[in-house]
Amino acid sequence: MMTAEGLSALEALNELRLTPDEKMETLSIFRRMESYEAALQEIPTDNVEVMVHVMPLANVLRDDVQAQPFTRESLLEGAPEHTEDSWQVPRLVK
Amino acid sequence: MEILDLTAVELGERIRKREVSAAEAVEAVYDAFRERNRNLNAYAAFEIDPARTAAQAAQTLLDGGGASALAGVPVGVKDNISVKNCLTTCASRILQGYRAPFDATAVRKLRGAGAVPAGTLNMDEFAMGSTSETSCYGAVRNPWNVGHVPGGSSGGAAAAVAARECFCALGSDTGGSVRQPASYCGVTGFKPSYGRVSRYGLVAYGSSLDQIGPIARDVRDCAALMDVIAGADPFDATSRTFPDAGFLDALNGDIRGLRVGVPEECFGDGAEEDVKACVQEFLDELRRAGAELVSISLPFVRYAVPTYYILATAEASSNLSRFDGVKYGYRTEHYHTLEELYVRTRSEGFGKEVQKRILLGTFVLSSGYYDAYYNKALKMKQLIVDGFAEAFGRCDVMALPVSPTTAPKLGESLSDPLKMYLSDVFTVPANLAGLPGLSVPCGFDRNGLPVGAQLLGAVGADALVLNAGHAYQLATDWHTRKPEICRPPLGGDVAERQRGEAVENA
Repeated sequence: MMTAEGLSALEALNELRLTPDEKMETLSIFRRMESYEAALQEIPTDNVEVMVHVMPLANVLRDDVQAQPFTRESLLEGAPEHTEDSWQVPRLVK
Repeated sequence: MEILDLTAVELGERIRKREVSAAEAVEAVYDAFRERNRNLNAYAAFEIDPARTAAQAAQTLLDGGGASALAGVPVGVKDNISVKNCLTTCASRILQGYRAPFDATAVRKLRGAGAVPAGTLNMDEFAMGSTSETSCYGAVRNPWNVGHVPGGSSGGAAAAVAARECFCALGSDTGGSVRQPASYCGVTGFKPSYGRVSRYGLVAYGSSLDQIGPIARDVRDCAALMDVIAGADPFDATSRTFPDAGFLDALNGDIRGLRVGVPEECFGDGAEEDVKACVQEFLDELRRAGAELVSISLPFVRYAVPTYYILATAEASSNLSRFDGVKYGYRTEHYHTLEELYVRTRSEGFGKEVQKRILLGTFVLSSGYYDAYYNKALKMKQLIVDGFAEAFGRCDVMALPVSPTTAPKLGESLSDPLKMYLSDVFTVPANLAGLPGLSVPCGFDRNGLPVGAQLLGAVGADALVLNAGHAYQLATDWHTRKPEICRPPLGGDVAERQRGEAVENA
């Protein structure tokens, strides 16, 4: 069963921070989600293979040819903060 | 007839005959947006300059003899499909101000065919929802009654098409997000076979389930859009070209001898009586057109919703980890460290439903729960695919309701999300199995809200499904009905009255 501590660990993994009210609400959803797991356990699947994709997939590799689909300027345009040629983030090393 | 009453194919014919120009068509849609969007909130944004530029390019193509069925026709685009240099925000604060630096392949193909991307359509945030209420731009309203939701997540697209605010649109369908809003709004929506349309440029939610699909007034418009957007794409390794082609040309309306499977589980206690009655009429009409109805069983349907929500949230938790406030979109104002920047940006930028699904997804993938949830769901997916394969041995297409109910009232669903998830019971199986699915209007409930019927086919049988829907629309006129809100003067008085009734009833 999901606990408050377990939920805090999930928040940390996802770089999220819920308010106390949101935590309560999310915990109640988690507890009800456990009914999903119970429903699926009704069906025996020991001899069933997992299916990740509905169609057979092969890795598609393009020719190793240099290209420039985007200019640096066009990608930096969307950044909340940037220098002349890079995205800007807070200092990591003091 | 007002230009906005034309279907996309009819408008394309008028444009090719030089009776209407591409510029006039785009201005008509823009005028509709400016005058009517306050009623329904169907658009997230409408940037007229790029639409006018695209209309000019389309006219040049037309003048040079380029004459695809949709040349010059404006096409609305859901806010999670990238349109170069236009806002593409997934109706989320975390993508506030983001302009895509490239066109999605489907949009690039639209431009190549001379169609005109015009306006981005409101939706549930990151396509996570069935009501279009989780948008950062506010809820979309149903044009048949503004006190009700339009469905979701492509609710803006369905509402705009129904209310004659655009001719046709591209939506995306991960668990029913094209078909269900089409059903709630009385328009036609098509989810292609998985892989039929490139997902490149579609902001990912559940990558193994997502598929771009058209929402339009009728099956002919959907087929015309499919002719443009379908096909393999080197930028999407899951896309492929199927052997058939020419969806519009393949619509002959002949369904004599077509075996239509009727899953008994979909007509039980779960569906409202009015819905069952309308879909029964739909079946009778198919029979009158020469189809043979076959009773079939899909015993796994009741396991599809748990399977879907485990897999979709797992994929979402991975896909949405890329939004961090560094490279694009929203960044919190209050941070000192990189860690703070990430946490505050994501907590302030994502809405509640999205955060909930990210957390659920990480949970089902975490050590100790992976086998019981994620692996189990992947095995159930195999059983669901096997079940469909067996059923399609007895029929060519299947017919069932799109949703167990008509459109709920605004605010009713968000208070109980698990109940909202259950309303996807008839749409998620097609996504899990990669099947093509079509939603066509087939009547109204006692409150005047539209009901949709769904046709499913085996993987690759997209043309067969579209033709069955076309045959139905040749014999009926449900798809031609338009909501009262469309009548002059621009529906504002109707919207006010319906809002008042909704408040009174609440």
